[in-house]
Parts: sequence; structure tokens; C-alpha cells
Amino acid sequence: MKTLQRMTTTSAILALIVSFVGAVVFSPATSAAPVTGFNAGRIIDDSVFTDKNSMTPASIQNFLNSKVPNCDTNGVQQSEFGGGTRAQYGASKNNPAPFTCLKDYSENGKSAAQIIYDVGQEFSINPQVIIVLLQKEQALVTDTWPFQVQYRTATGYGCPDTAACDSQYFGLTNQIRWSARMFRAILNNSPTWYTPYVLGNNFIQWSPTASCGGSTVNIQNRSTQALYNYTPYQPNQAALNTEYGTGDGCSAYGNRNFYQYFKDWFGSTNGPEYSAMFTSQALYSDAARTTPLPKANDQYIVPPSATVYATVTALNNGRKNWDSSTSLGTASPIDRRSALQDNSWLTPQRVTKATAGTVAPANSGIFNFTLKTPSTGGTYSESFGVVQDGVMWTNDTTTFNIRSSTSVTAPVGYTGHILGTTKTTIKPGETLLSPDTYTTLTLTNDGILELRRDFALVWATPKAGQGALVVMQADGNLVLYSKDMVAIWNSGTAGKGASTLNVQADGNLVLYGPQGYTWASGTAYATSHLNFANGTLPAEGLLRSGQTLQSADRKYTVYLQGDGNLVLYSNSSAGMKAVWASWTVGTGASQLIMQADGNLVLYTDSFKPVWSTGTGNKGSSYFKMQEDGNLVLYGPSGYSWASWTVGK
Amino acid sequence: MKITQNSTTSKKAIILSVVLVLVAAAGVAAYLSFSRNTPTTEDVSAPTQEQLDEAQKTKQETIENDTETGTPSPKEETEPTPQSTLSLTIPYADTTRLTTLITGVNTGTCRLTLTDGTNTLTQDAAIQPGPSSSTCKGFSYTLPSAGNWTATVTATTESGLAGSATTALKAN
Repeated sequence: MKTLQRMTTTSAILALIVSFVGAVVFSPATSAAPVTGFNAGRIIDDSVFTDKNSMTPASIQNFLNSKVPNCDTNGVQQSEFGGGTRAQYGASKNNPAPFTCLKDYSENGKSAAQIIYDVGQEFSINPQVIIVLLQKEQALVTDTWPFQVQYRTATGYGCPDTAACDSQYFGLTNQIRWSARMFRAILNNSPTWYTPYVLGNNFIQWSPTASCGGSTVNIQNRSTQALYNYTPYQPNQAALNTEYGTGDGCSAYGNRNFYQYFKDWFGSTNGPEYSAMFTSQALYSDAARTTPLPKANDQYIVPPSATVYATVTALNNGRKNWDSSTSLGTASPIDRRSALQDNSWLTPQRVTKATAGTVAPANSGIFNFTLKTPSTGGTYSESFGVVQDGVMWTNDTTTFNIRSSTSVTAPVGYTGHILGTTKTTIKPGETLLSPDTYTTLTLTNDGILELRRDFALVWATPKAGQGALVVMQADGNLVLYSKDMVAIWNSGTAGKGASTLNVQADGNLVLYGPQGYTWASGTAYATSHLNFANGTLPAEGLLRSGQTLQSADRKYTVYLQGDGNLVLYSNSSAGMKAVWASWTVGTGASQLIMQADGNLVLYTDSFKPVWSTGTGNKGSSYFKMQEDGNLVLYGPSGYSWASWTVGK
Repeated sequence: MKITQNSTTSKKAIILSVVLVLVAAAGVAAYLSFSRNTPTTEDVSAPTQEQLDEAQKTKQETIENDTETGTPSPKEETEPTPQSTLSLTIPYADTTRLTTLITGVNTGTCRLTLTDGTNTLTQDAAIQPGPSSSTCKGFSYTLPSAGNWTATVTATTESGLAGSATTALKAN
């Protein structure tokens, strides 16, 4: 037993020695390890490069803080470049202290972290890419005493290798935006943005020195193409023999450093095998897809019982081909049964396959399909995603926001909200839309001028019969004429001077003359209900005070009341009965927000939270008023909160 | 019996030792692998010395190339301003399109000349600036006949800088 103990002790010591030696020998802090995994034709996957939600402003700030634990603001430490202290060296270079580190830097009142985040969102570029760009171009992320010139040319944009930098691109925000704009143009294969390199085989030099030579590189995706547009050289073997060190006289380091910083700081540059990024969508009234449907406030206006023709384009930014197992499916949540399903769909959950059959990585697939609006009208938010059946769903979705109104006929002749300026008449079938698109003024085919708020009729004129016409007259009178030009109704404002008729966002129809308003329908806020499609408040959706969310069968209503209370009502033959409430009366709650983090929060006008479901870490979720009477919050892993009011 | 017992004990100890060593080695490998290659989220540790060294070189290069830093000595003031040089290469070319990489200038014009000895085609395009290099604003064409063609691109600037490159094309 002692022998065994001795041997065990010896073994443990030996193991520790091996561990120690291994750690020392292979430690990144003490060795010039070679770069591993670098693929010159695929430096980073498109799905990683465009993952704009990889970081929040707070996590970017936290990251920047971590890379500069102590900013030498006053330059008291010795300069690495000689010349005394950093303050003294800086002064000798026309850049006296204080020095502002990136983590503390701001422009126009916006922090560097916020700038990085905002530009990432604007151009759908991963903020991690921007961070790495700032480091590899100007070392700004780790610098404890940066010079102004480093911010002026922060991403090196507009700085030719052998000429002075172009001042039109100067400034941190400007630099980051130009870089991201260029990346986006190349990712979208913009026909107006020319690049030295294309997808496929290109001869790429090792360095600006042509005599150093180069090699043929098969550029496999747009992100890699974009990186070579930034730094048009590939690292030679000497550069790849060391992660951050110096190679030889023919080495260029831009793309090596991008890869190495990204890998060390944010992980693999490889994305999933299957990935998609939607780049466009459109909805047409004809099968040939030549007549686009009108769109206002990001909503397509479609009549009920209509068949419309959709086209979406998605970039295959994954690593494998899309094939016969790839299709467009209903998403948010995935495999949802769509209210707009058409008989031409493959299944209720699978819409169609790409027209090209096979779509290779870095190429775009087109999906054509048909949607059919229900006869009842309503507001719909229909999301779709690319799915590789039996393997995985890709993570991007495209959403069609559709308002199907009984008061709209297609094609809509006029979608402005003012009569009396460029347009002075309304013909049968024509509609004026309020700026928020929730109020419509339509002259029906049988000659009634109807004002509807969220589909509900709130005001109407007498019937003038077929062939009627509404005229905004020069004398300030609004008149509904029959086809024989007999005035059937008028606003009684003749003589008020040149006026305009306005369909306002508050639901009011108002005539304004030179002296102010002369007539109104008196329907401001006549109907404040907002019925989201299928009783669902989608991710990042907003329910305002006075608005409701109803179950599809309209038996249950959740109502954000003016007193700040969120109340669930059951509607039966006996009348309305409150079955659940947030108990927030008098708190000033005026908006219910389905946050992107999965938390459902009641806020005041000044965004003070007064109630929440406490589900802030559950991921993108939606809030559903179910037909069984239960109010449920669903996230990626199933339900995360419920009112437990089934059948009440 | 005792001898047998000792022998068994020794064998067990050796096996255990080997297992422990292997486990430790695997641990080191796993640590290095996960700590260096695959952080599950952003790495919020302080930068490594290698990263700082590389960053220092980057910064030094920026400061040295910046015309607004430093107080030039009388000797430096008398030195002529360095002239840009224009360099042009053709990274990609086929029988329908050709791309160019230009360094040293942001503006100017490009001319493509295609010839098979009998026929000659020319196209002009402006120079499009990029982040650190430039390119001609695209050349696309249809070669009128099969055979061996030569494509020559020349870029020129208003200040008189010029550069060119030539490549061979084979049209079937």
C-alpha cells in the first residue's frame, strides 16, 4: 500500500511537472506560436462578419474597459519610443497630454462603444469586426495613451499605402461609417462599388512590393472579398509563423492581424454550416411581379380575400450549398401556421424552395411565393426563415407587415393623407391614408365617403350613388357630388378660402383654411384599439395606453388602461369580467414593451419601469393572448411566463 | 502470496501513473485549446504582451507617417516632399471582365486596351478610391473573336503619375 501511495505521489508530482512544463512551453505569453486555422480564401464567414447583434453597447464598453485597465491619461509613464515620459514624447510630436483612451473617447456626445454599436446596426456589420479593425489599423483598443492621429484615421480608411491620408474621411465616427459602408456594399455585391478582387481565383500579392510575389487565392465569400479590399495583401508564410510577431521583408500583416485578434478576442471566425441573410423583399399585386403593392410606415396595404405575390432574396452566408432540402419556412415562432397560407405552399409550414434549386455559399437565392389575405381583414406580421430540413434553421428572418383593410381596394389609387394641394378630388375606390396608416378615408364605389379607424367605421356621408366624386373646392368647401354633379353633402365651409383636408394620425378628419381649422369630423381617438395579428405582440412590439391585444376569437382582451393598469378581460354573454391584472393603477404606466431580451415591461412615458415579467434573459420572445384565456410569453425555449388564466 | 501482492500493487501504480500523466497532458492541451482558440464569449482579460508589442509597432508606424506630428528640423524642412508612386496590377481577368489594384493615388483615369494583333478594343473608366488602395471602376467586355488576346490597363493622374499592367487572355 505504501508502494502504491509512493507511486501515486510520484505520479501526481510528475503530472504537475508535465502540466507546468506544458503550460510554460505552450503559453501564449512566452512563445511566438504560429497562426493556426487561417484560410486565405475564407478569412471569416459571412454569418460571423454580419452578426450585428453579437454585442450590446454595454458589452462593448465592458470589453474596451478590459483592454485598457489603466489609461495613462497624463502620460506619466516612460515613453516606449524614447524621449522621456509619454507626455514629453507626445509634446515633441505636437500631441501633448492628456491622452484619451478609446474606452473614454466620445464624439458629439456619443461614446466610442455606442458609435461602434450604432454603425454595426446601421450597416448590419458585427461590432466585433469594427473593434478588431480599430485595433489592427491603429491599435486603439489596447492603447493606453493614444494620439489624436489614431482617431483621425481610426480605421485607416482613405489612407493609401504610399500617399497622405484624405481629410474627407477623418474622425472616429466618419472612419467607422466609411469602413462599414464599404463592407456592406461589397456584401451586397453592389454594382456601383468596384473591387480589385472578385469571388473565385485572384492573384494576391504578399505585400505592396510586387517583386515579393504572391499566389492565387480562391476567395470564397463576400466578407473575405471585403477584407482584401481593405488590405489588398495576404500574409506570407513568414507572417503566419508568428501570431503577432514580425515575418520577413515581404510580409504584410493586416489580414493576419484581423484574423488573430478576432480569434483571440471573440472566438472562431467560422459560422454555422447553414446560414442565411435576407437582403430584399417585395409584394406585388400580379403574378408576373411587375406591380408592387403600396407600402406606408413599413406596412403593405392589401385588400381582404386578395392573392398577392411575394419575392424574397436571401444570401447564403453559410458554408454549404442550399439544396432540395432547403426551403423557406414560417418563422417567429418557427413552424407557425400562417394566417396568410396559400394552397400553393408545400405544407402549412414550408412555403417554397429557392427558384435556382441549388444555391452555393456567397450566392443569393430567390424565393417566390403567394400569400392570401383572410376575408375579415386585419393586421399581420408574417415572418419567414430559411430552413435546412433535418439539420437546422438559419437565424435570420424576413417579415411582411400587412394591413388588410375592408376599406381599401387594390390597387390603391392614392395613399397620401392630404387633399387640396396636388390632388383635389377623390374618385370611387380611392383612399387617403393617415400618416400612421390606421385611419382611411375612402370614397366607396356606391358613393359613400367613409372614415375608418383600424377598420372600424367612425364617420360617413350619405350615399351619393355610383360615379360620385369628392371635390376639395377652391372656396374652401368639401363637397360630395353625385354623378350628375348634384351636391349630396358638403362641409359648409364655402368662403373660408383655399383649404386642405387632412386625414390625421389621431383619427380626425380636419379641414384647414387660411385662418386655421374650419371643419372636423370630431373623430380624434374615436377608436384606439389596436388588434395585433392573432393576438400576438411580437418581439420588440409596443402596446400603448388605450390599446388592446385580443385573442383570435375575440373572447379575451388584454387592455392597457389609461389608469396604468394592464388588465385581462374575459368577454362572455354575461359581459366583460376582469380575470387578471398587473396591479399598476396610478403608476403612470403608458406603454408595454416586448423587449428583445425577452422581458415584457410596463413603462411610464419617461421609460421608468413599473412592472415586468422578470424574463430578461430568455431571448427574443413574443406575447400571446391565447384563445384558451391564458396570457403567455413564449421564448426560444418555450413559455417563460403565463397569467395562468385558462378558462377563467 | 506477498510477492504477488507487491507485483500487482506495482502494476496498478504504474497504470495509475500513466493515466494521471495522460489526464494532466490532456488538461494542458484542453486549457490551451479553449483559452487560446475558442472563447465562448468576448475575452475580457488584459491584452497579452504579443498583442501589446504588435500594437506598439502599429502606433509607431502611424506616428512616423503622420505629417502633422513632430516638429521638423531645419534640415527636414529643406528636404523635398516625398512623391507618390502609382502602382497597378491585375488580380483577376477572364474573357468578360478584368479587375485592377492601384496603389499610391486616389483619383485619375484608367484605359483598357484589348488586342489580338488584328482587332483592338479600348475602354475608359475613372479610378475609385478604397480604404488603402484604389481600383478602376470596372471593365467588362465581349471579345469579338476566339484566339489569344492581350489586355493592357494604364492608369494616369492629373499630376502626371502613370502605371500599367498587362495580362494574356485566351478566348475559345
